[in-house]
Amino acid sequence: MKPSSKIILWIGILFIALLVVITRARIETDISLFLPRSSSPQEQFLINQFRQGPGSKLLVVSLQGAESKALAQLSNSLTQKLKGNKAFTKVLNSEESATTEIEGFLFSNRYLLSDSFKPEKFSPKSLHETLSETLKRITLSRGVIEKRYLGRDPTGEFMSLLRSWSKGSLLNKKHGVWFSADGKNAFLVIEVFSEGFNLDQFEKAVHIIGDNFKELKQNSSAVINIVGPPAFAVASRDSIRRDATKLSIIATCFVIGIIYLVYRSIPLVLLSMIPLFCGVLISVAVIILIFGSIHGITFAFGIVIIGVAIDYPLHLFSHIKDKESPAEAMDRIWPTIRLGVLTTSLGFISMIFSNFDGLIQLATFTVCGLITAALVTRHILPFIIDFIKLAKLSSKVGSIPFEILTRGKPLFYILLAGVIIFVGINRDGLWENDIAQLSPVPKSQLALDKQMREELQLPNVTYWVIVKGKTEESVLQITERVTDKIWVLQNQGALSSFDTVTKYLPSIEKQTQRIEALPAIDQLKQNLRIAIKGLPFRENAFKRFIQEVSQAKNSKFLTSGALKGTILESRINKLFYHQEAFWFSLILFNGDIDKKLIGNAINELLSENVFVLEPRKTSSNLVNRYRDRALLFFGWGCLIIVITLRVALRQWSSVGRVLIPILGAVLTVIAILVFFKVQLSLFHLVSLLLVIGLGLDYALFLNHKQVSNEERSKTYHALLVCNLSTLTAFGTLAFSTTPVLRAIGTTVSVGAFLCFLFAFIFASKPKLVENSI
Amino acid sequence: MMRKFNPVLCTLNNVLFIIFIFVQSVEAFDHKHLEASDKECSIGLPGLMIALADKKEKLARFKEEKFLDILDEPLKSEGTLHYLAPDYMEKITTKPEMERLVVKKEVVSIFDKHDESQTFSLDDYPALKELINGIRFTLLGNLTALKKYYELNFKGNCNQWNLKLTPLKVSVFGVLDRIIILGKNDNVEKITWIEVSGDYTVMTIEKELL
Repeated sequence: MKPSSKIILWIGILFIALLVVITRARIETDISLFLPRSSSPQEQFLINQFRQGPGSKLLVVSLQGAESKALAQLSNSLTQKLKGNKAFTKVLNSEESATTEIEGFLFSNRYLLSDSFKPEKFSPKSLHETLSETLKRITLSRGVIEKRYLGRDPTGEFMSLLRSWSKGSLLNKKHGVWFSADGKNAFLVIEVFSEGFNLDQFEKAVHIIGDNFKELKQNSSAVINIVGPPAFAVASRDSIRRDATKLSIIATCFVIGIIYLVYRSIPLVLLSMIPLFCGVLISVAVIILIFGSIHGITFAFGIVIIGVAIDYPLHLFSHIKDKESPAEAMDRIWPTIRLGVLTTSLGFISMIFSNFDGLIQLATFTVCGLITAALVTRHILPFIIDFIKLAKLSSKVGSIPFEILTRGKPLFYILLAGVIIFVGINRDGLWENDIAQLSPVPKSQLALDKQMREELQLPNVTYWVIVKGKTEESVLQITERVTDKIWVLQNQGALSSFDTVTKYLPSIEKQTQRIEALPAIDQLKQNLRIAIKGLPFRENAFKRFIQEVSQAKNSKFLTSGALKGTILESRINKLFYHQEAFWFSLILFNGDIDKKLIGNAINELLSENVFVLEPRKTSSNLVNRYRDRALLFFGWGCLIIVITLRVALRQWSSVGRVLIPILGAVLTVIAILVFFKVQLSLFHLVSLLLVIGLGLDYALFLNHKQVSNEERSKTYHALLVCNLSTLTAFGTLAFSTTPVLRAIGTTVSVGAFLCFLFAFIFASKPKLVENSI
Repeated sequence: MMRKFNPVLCTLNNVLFIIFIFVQSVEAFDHKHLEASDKECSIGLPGLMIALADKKEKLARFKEEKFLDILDEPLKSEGTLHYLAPDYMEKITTKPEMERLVVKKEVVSIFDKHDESQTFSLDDYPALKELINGIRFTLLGNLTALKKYYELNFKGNCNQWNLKLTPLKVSVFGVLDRIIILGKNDNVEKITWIEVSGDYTVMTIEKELL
């Protein structure tokens, strides 16, 4: 193919890729897509909960920094403003009062819902006592509301139901709105509308709150603080983004500076970016074509892993000899680059068979990116260099006696042995198992969140009890059995309050029992006649009561279907729902709880269908399983790399010279991290993949047969430039405050340096054929 | 329309309304402050308010009867009422049983005969707070603020007069239809509190203690 047609083809492909990216690019942020297919009921449930978990979409907003009256006013106007917004499903700055609709529902279904009703209550004696007590209260100040219902509900079922519905404990308030105990912070609780754990929707919601606040506060000195899982998710993404943007700009400047200092040519600096850029573009396009969208995590990790592609053009630049065309130089180094790309790509291909969406995307991205970058370096760059007629490059580092390093082998083996022993001893605490530790959200914010949740008695997000079953009725019955145990704890004062669907929707079994406990109408009439003796009631005072009991005896049972479209629906749909052939019921606790106590209380009921979920623990487990899977395929990839190298290099000794330095570097990096008490995470693993790619590149070049001293020195030059640019780029990241970026930065920079050093130790002895220059 | 519902609120609404009307009326006809209008035997609401603004404390005996549709005879109670400017109010029932209801600043307490109390903050009940503020505005002689909560209807002269208060916002009072206060000369004689259901309460002020 002629160079011109190659370039036309290349531009065509780039254009199509660009078109695909522009028209169809969709960055997926729903984390649940990146989670592994799971097995335990907890994990399955958790993944579903990422879509509609209670509490996981709750924001707590705190207003402070002004007089309490002004804060209360702000709190009210903010609530009013946000209530109409579709981005929120709930906006509260004081208790949600029972409405007339709920009141009506409770009143007409009181005998189905009330837990306190006992048939003895309708005996003549008991009725007489209740009525005379109630009359006394009505005479005094405290019974006025009872007066309203005396004729219809003489035993006060409605009132006791109402009491159990409104939370027992009172939250701290000032000027009618929630305030912190010290009276300095006004609180709002806001539930964000979101399909799944969708960061974009969260971000929008957080912005709407902030904007409205700014608009409302005008000149006031009040400040807003938004905490809660959605805010944290957004903040961590923002902080990673900000950090990454800032540091990558700094890193890019450094790299460009180095490349410029070395080659003294601005066009070359620009050219060196082309393969990597093309690689990213094509990879994104391919992933969008295959998967429909690209996940943010794939994109970020992918770019890190194919960072090695920036080395390809540098090799080309450094290897161009005097009086040689770039294409000729390329022909010489191509076999080495090709082997490096091939080996790394094959290493990643194992992941494609992982049946694991995140890993498949990542592998596809890496393989496409590396191959594209290599092909662009091979076929396009030499012609562009020719075309723009670059000034001659001076690229020799003859004076540094790198060969001296080959004498360091014994030292290396001693180090390696030490490292293996050290890592072996410390292998237990090797992995970070709590993903929350990787969160860039400041500890103070997390503490504030916890404090506010406790003060506001919001559903505890760390501990849920779940009941799962095939039918609505079975789940409700089991839930009742579980809540019976928890009621006991609450009555003992061991926990503040909890919420369960059976408060609003008892099982049919329970409803039947309650209805059957109601006496026959004639019996009731007779009991009442006896009961009102000696009390000032009119003869037919309880006509409506009798009427309503007889209605209740024939009332339809409550079912979730019957509650659809009523105000109760929104109240129960977070506690009870149907998903993929199963019904789920959640028991949620408010405020701080003693997990052990609850665990013991419900212990005998725990089974496959009744389980405790600790979301944070389970999500850590999920990510760890993901990591373990990745590790497995990492292992397979290494095996493939070994085989590829054996086939390509034909001798085990050559394979050893390439791989031993890489192995040494990887193990030493791990040992260094362990030594500094850093626990490894998925992010370190991804970084090690890049280290391996870089190491292969270095080692292959150093073991490539050099025909002249000049070429040897050009290889040194190339490797030095490559290594230096990697070190500065990732060294910058190592100074990030974001744990994830710091992990990547330190691992890659240390790893790259060690690979470089060790690769020289194992470099093949120069068997030079001295050519006259 | 969604209406806020709260049992404690309703209880206190009733009670406090009575206190409110009682104190307002009693204060309004404190003869020391109304000597000028006495001569002509005519009185207007604004004049009343001016007089009220001066008054710092009130103490009086009351008798109360609650008429219920389902009862043959009313439920009777009696006790004392006490107001101390600007934000202390107390209703002590002595018969048939001891009970003390205290509103102090933003805190409401009900003590039973064993002196066991339930206490809560007015901040938890915005509607009730609105009502208390209404009372405070009256006792402070703030007619403008009072008009925010009730439609006021004042008729008669100093020998025979009545004041009708109709809540402006149904949402706040719920069960209350209207209140009628009857008075003669400088005395409040009767406060009638009428509910939407037809039940009603009559409070008779027997004797001023201060």
